[in-house]
Amino acid sequence: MKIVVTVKQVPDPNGAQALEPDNTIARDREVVLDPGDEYGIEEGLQLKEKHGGEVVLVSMGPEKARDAIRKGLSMGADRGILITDEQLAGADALLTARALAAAIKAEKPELVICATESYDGSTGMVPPMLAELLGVPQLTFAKQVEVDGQQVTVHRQTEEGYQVVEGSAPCLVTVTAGIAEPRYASLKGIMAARSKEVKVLKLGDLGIDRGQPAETVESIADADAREAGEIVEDDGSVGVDRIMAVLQSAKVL
Amino acid sequence: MNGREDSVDKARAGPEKAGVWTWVEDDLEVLGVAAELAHGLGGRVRAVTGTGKPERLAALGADRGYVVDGLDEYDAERWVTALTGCLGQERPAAVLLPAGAAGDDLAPRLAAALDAACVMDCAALRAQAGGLLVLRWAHDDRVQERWLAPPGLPLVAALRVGGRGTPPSRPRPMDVRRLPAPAASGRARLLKRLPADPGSVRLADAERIVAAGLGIGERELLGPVQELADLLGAALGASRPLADKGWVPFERQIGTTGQSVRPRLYLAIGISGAVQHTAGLKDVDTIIAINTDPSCPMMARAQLAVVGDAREVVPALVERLRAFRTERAPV
Repeated sequence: MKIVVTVKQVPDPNGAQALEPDNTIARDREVVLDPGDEYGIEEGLQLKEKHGGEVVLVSMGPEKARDAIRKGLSMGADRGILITDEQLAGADALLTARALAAAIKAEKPELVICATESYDGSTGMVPPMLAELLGVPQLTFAKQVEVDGQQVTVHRQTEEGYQVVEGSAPCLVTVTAGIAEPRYASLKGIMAARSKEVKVLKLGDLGIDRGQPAETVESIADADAREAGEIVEDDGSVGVDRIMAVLQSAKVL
Repeated sequence: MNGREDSVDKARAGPEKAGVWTWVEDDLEVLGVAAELAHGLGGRVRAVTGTGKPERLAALGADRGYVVDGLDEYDAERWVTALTGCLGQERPAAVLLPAGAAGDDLAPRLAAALDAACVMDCAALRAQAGGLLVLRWAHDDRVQERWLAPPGLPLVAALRVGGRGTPPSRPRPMDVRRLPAPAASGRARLLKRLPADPGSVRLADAERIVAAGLGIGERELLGPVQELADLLGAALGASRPLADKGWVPFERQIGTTGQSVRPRLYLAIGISGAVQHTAGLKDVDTIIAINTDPSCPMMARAQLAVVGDAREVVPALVERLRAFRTERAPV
């Protein structure tokens, strides 16, 4: 089974965050492979181990995003494709999906795995857009994926519980964090990754135009905080005393 | 359906402005927002439904209802085909969908099919000179972003629902168009549903919630946390990271693709502020937070913020509550 996993380089979730003047997240700080993508890579690798085939990582981003691909390759993916072009800076979701779709189409994968949403943008728009542009069914919010021949079955999370949804390959799956514990790259894997292919594609190679941006972010503000409440340091009993008092005054007790 | 204009509409309104479309099933809240937005734009309201009742749509401001007969089980490809079929040649100003497992799945796919702008997790929309201004929750609701969709380009928006109540009555003469559901793609099939924990109260309905986050430190503490919830008559909730780790079932998750909550008491244990639906939390009467980090957003939001280790505070609180219950128990 040929599997494409989309990956993205994002600012380190553990680092300080800052915004550029155009409200995109500053990427001049520490950047890492999106932690959500590690689950997708792990799931792809496990499916390959069961069913054979190849795991190809596809990313769009600055040249530096090669490091994110390299990390996935050191986990065991076979090769990578990096779409990088100055014209793609600040791309909106649909342009991102169009660029990814063009690169992925050429690969003719049977399965495309994406994270449910990226750590930095947190919109979750790209995967369903990608499925539409690829003309394949989408099986989203999967916490479990099984493959049997051309049948792909997922356990899909919903507000009410789970749905068991079956799709036929080629299809696109979005996986939730926790679907599989991402493996650490072994030293051997890190060494091997150095010689794995990372193909670079420009906008012109994909046959698409920059176009006009659709939605843009105008401003970002912290969500309103409530009026400051009471803060107590717990020393073993004072915290519990105050909680009991508040519960009683709120007539919970 | 075929872009045919209604002659009565034309006579009354002159050249038709781009309409605001919605997909409405049980929850009519999104229709109220669409009617409000259409009012601001001077456009008409089109409501598409598979199972909804047309007369309810007319009462809440829809100018035209599309009833797609036989459209029941959600399937992204089929829904996109149905909606684009209803749209025909029309380029809408906006298509509003309720956020959730189906809406979040559908909105971006529809946007790609329509070559439209798209914004998720929307709190509010407003028409202004430069286009449609959208307020959206982002990054676990710690921030609100203002997005702008340019005029002339349709906007597909997934709107957070819950809390606006039933939209005001705006009775309209509505024309109803019925069309058959497109054939199922057959490429994605729902095989079965696995229910959520049946013994539990739905979080969305819970008056009291005890919610745990990664800050509880160890899985073993979930036992005392559950006992605490039981003692308070509260439902157990969890932050997304905890659900992601598989420590609690997904249906206990509050937030992104989880549930929107509006309890009267919210006791947050080891949740830093990565709690979704802060809008809902604003209406909570009493928020109590227990966390080692006094500077985290959740503690700032709490009426009472207890700085301490959940592993010590929770068992102590359980013990105190047990004693309290015993004292109060009828002899």
